[in-house]
Parts: sequence; C-alpha cells; structure tokens
Amino acid sequence: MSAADTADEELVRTLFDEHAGPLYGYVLRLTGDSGRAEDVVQETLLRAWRHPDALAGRPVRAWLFTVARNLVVDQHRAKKARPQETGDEALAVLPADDELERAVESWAVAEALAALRPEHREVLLEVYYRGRSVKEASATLGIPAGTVKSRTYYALRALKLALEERGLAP
Amino acid sequence: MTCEEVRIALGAHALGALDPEEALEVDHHLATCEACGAELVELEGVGSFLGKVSERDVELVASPPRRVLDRLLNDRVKRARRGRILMAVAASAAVLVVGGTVWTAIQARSVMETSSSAQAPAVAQSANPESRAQQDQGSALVAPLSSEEPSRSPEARSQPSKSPASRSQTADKADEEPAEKAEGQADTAATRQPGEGREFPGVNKAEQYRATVLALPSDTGTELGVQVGGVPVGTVCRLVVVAADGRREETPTWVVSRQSYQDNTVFRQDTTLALREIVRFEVVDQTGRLLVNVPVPEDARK
Repeated sequence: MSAADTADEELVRTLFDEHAGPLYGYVLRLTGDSGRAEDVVQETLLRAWRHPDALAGRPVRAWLFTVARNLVVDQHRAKKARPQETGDEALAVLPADDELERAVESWAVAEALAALRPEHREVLLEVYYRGRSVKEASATLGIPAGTVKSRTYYALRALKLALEERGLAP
Repeated sequence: MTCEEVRIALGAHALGALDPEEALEVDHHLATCEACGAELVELEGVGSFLGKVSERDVELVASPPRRVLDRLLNDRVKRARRGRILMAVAASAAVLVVGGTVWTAIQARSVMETSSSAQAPAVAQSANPESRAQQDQGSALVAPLSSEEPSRSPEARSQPSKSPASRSQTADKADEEPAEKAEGQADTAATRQPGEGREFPGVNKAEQYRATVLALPSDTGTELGVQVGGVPVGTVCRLVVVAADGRREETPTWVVSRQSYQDNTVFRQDTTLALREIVRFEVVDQTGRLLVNVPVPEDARK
C-alpha cells in the first residue's frame, strides 16, 4: 500500500470516527430506515472524502448534515418521480436553516454524552432519562447512594467540558 | 452540611434526584452560600442540554454501523484503483468487464472523433492526447456506481455531435470533473512519457464498425484491452497485432454478445510484441476478414 493510499484510508477512518455517529443518528431520524440511513451516511462521507476543498473553512458537521439531508430529500423525490440530479456544489451552498442548526446541535449533545466515560453516561441515563432518584439509581446500578451523587456531579462536570469542546457552552 | 458535602450532591440536585429531606438541607445551605449557589446554576445549565436528546439518540451516536466504514474503505479502494486497473488491464481473467465511466467516456469520445474526422486522416492522432490524459487521470476518472451507467452511456453515444463541454458535464455530473480535466490536459499534452498506457481508436466507415484498443507495456510485451462497437452480435472476433517488421500475432478469439455491449465489456488480450514495435491492430472475424483497422500513430512507438 502506497503512502497516498494509507493517507486516504486514514482520512476515511477519521471522517467515520468523527462524524458517522451523529450523522447516522440524524439520517436515521429522517428516514426511519436503517438501511437507507447507512447508504446516505456512506454517500455523504464519500463526498466529504472526495471534496476536501469543499470542507475547508466551513463547519464540517453542518456541511455533512446538509449533504445528508439533501440526499434524503432526493431519495424521497426519486421515489415519487424521476430523480433530480443535484450536484455536490448545489448541495453545499444550501443555507443551513434553523432546523438544521438545531439538528447539528442536538446531535453534538448526543455525541458529547456518548463520549463520556461509561459510568458517567450510565448514571445520567438512570438519574435523568429514566427519572430515578439517587436511592433508586443506587439499587439499579448496585453502587452506594453516595457514589451515585458524586458520579452525577462529575458526570455533569465532564459533560460541560465535552459540550465546550464541541462549541456548545452551557 | 459543609460546602464539600453540598457540592457533591449538587449534580443530583440539579437533576432533581435527591430525596426530599436531603434536597431541603441542600437548599438551606444554598440560601446562605453564594459559591455553591453559583455552582448549582452552572450544573443546571449543563443539565438543560440533556433534554435536547433522548437515550436512544445517545445509543445511535455511540454505535454507527461499522459496515458503513467497511463499505467506505472498499469503495475508496475501488474508486482509487479502478482507473489504474483499466489501464493496467491487470486482471487475469480473459474478459475484463468494466462497467464504469472510464471506458464509456473513452468510447463516447472515440465515436465523436472518428465521426468528426471524416475529412481528416488524423483519427488516431486526435485521440492520442486523450489517452495521455486518461492515464494521468487514472484515479480521477473514477466510475460512479455502475448503476448510474446505463442511463448515461446511451445518451453519450447517441449524441456524438454534442460539444465536448456539454458532454463532459453529462458524463461527470454525478462524479468528479475528470473529462474536463482530461480535455484541459489534452490541449497541452504535447509529450508523452514512454511506458504508459495508450488508447487507439479505429473505424470501418463502410460498415460503421468501431474498435478501441487499449495498450499498456508489460514485462512480457503489451497488455491489451479491446472494445468493439457496431459489430453484429454473434461475431467471432480476433485481434491481429502487426509489428513494423511484418510480424503478426493473433490473439485468441472472443464473441461479441448483446451482453458485452450492455456491459461495455473490454476484452482482455496479450501480445509478446512491444508497444513500440506495433504499427497497427486489426480486428478480424473468424475467417480473417478485416473488421476494423486500428492504426498506431508513429509517436506512440517512440
């Protein structure tokens, strides 16, 4: 494998590692179909790989979400009528509207949560998403109540950092 | 309660998970401690982000399907290599099926040139710079998903008089800008390096048969790819490679089928003759009747 091939592969892996999760979540919510979502994510990342210049100097995540959204829209149209060809360039200049911005943000939040250490994520899932009290979470997780409290505290602290890393300041 | 005790409970408090008694105690402390109060506000701010996503969202983000990565890596390899494979004609199979734009683009161009060169005896020359460009663009002239192909190639073929610009647009819309680049380079490609692959078109005007031979120097001679057009389905073809000193080498036969037209099949052949020795290729039928003469211009033999 040549150096160029290796660099190529690195880029593909990096794109996947950094964006596939939130992108997949977003597209799956749009399509409701995991197979189609996978196809769209693949095509979107492929376009990003093929057009590194299109990504330069703009928020990558918003670009990816825009491309993905338009692929989903195109697919939808294609099912109803003859597919309309849309070039990458046209996709890339579509303005990111509020809905898209919100989507980028909430998927970054999900990403920040997913990036937490497992015990931090776990305690937040119990205490916040499942609405358990400290006592209940302690029983569910099999850890002392004091540990639930301290973990919740450190989990929120860690989440704050993870959000800030993604440009989301609480 | 000390500040330390309160702090550690503030996370759970911010999320409303403390039992009522403890919550009261904490609130009591907060009423008089500004620092702890500020910390609670901060933690509540963080907590407010939790409402933007669901538990399922977090799961999805944490586990994007790995097969997408596998497919991407495969696809990347295919796209990066397809051009090279075509030029190298490296497959060991006797028939190389290329469902991609690369070959189709060559073919469309050849048709265009051969039809526009009725008055000029420059059929082969006119295509030379493009074979050079084709080689240079090996990795850029990548084929899109082959499923896009059928709708595109008939159009390219049926409108040979289309301007190069509009045609390249058609051919490359969904992919990159190879043809544009290729044509841009075609204007300036005055010199060619030895050892690179070349493409030679030929046409039998009387019969409207066409052939394109792709040649790439190899260790043992020259690797060839042949594609024919207009030749009736069912015709048994053979390629005769003619050297400057009169030597002739015949390749094994292949049969033109409807499928081979649909798939843009490139028939893979070999010759022990070196590219610089070859003056022409002849596509002949079973009986040795000449179907298409494919001349090799002098500059390809340098």
